[in-house]
Amino acid sequence: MIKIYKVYLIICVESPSAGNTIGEGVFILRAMWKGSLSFGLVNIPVRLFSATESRTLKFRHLHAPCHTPLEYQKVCSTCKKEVPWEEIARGYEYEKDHFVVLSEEEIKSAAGKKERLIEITDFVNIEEIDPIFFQNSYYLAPDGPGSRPYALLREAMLESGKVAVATITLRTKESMATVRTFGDVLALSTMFFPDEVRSVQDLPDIPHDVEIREKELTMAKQLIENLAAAFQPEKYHDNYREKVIELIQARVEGKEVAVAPSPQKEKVIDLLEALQASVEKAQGKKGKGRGKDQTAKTSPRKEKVSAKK
Amino acid sequence: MFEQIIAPMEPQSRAILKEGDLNHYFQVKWDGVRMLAFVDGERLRLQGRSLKNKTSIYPELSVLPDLVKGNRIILDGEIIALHENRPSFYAVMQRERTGFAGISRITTLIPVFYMVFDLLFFDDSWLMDKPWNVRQEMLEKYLKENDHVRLVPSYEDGKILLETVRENKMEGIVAKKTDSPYIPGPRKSSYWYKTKIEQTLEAYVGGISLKNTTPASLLLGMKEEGPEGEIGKMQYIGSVSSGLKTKELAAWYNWGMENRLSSSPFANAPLHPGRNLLYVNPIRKVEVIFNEWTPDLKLRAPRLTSRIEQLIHH
Repeated sequence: MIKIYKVYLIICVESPSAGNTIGEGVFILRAMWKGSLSFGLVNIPVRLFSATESRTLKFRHLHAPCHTPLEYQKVCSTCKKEVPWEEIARGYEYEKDHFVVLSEEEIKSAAGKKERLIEITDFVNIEEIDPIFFQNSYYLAPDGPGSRPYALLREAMLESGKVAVATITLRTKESMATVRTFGDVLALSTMFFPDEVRSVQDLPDIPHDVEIREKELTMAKQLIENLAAAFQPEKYHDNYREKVIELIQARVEGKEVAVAPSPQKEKVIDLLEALQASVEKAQGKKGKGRGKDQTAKTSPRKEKVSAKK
Repeated sequence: MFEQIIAPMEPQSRAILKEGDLNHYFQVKWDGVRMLAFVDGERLRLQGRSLKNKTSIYPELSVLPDLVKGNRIILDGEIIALHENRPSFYAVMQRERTGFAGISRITTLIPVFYMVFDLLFFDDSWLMDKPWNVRQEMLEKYLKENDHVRLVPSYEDGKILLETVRENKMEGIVAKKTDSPYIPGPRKSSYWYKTKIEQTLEAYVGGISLKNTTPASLLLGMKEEGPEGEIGKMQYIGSVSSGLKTKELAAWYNWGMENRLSSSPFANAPLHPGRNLLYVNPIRKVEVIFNEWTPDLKLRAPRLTSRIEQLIHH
């Protein structure tokens, strides 16, 4: 468990200059948020680290003839000029082309004093929470004097088997969140608010009141039974990403990169016909030819079996 | 009859064909897993040589009840998968192990075919006492073929078929006596006999086993294969020492030391009690010939046919 803690408390940064393997990152430890976890009368100073990282390969857009990376400019079409950072304001488009402009201070003030607080409000059973609510996951690490109360909360949660529901404000966005134990670590997952989860009411083509045959159901259940297994996430990996990295690696090393043609679907009929053709050819060579109508058949069995009864 | 458990009929082994054999017909020995199919109305049950129920592993065969012109029927045959247009036991074992995320993915990746060669029951009667050629005629009459279900053709000339099978690098042939009843196994019946061809295979060298400090054999591995090429981790498939001279072993060892790995490149651990293992980066392939696959997917009696010079200097 401690091992997991060590491996994941790091943030991966792509660094092309370090001469590392393509697609692998250089590891740097960096907290993305500092604040406290409030649990009754106890405040635990904590730091927040990203628990996951998307390993999708990023391609930069280049100007094809000269391979120069493209830059993005913010341009105002009225003033016909590039806009510096100080001249950018934030506006909410309440109807087409009509904006309410709010200053950064006003937006910040709405977040209130909660800004640096993870506030635990309830403890619930994890089974009650549908995974559809989960958004992003973070690891919490104690900061300074937070060690002892951190350990206390962790042990208490482990023994009670409950997870904490909390609120947290990251940047300016307030979220509902859960705090739970993950090995030796407390992990926080931000969650969508109920009104952010779309209703299933208007989904098209969802079958209701369908008569299902008992036999089909038994067959389907048997299939499920057969594939039932323990969850082994390490079985799954990103084949597409590996293939692309291979292509890039070969290019970097100056090798010719051959692109494989798409696979042909293998058919047993082709094989059967090939075998039949070679047998006929061999029979022809030995002068043991049979009637024309017989050799033309795809299956030689019919005539032969009955002929030899 | 639907719930009946039947051990499939087993042929004896014979190294060569009988000369001028007029009482037998010959069929390709399809290298796959033996499977009996029980159909009762719309119900289907597949039963393997181990007598276990395999129905859910091969959803391609769920159409079988629609392909037979009878209400109740029992078929015998071999389930095969193809790789590079020939049967691959290795591929079909991947289906048996269902080590994949989902059946829908694996059925696309490794489609299987049912090569049917016998009929044991039709409508209300057992046919096991009937002669083989009568069962064959009925089978042709009452089973409709489709892309995944095929009848195994029978040939008069065993020599020609054996030669054809050799050219196509297939497993071997089975001779069936025309008047043969169906005698359930596992005892081998003299009515049927099989003649096998040595098989060839390319495998990666993933390690070298050492007896004390002397190199003794090469550890071979194979990556799982789908139609799109190699997928997944390398499986250990056995070790080879036959066909290797001491000098060559020493050369392999030197090469191995240059390409050594600190941990095993195999997904499953090679079993070599009392031997030290030198793991190497699996970048070299060698060709081996072997008799057959053991049930736990290892090579039986492998012999190396490629020389190390060919490999080092290419």
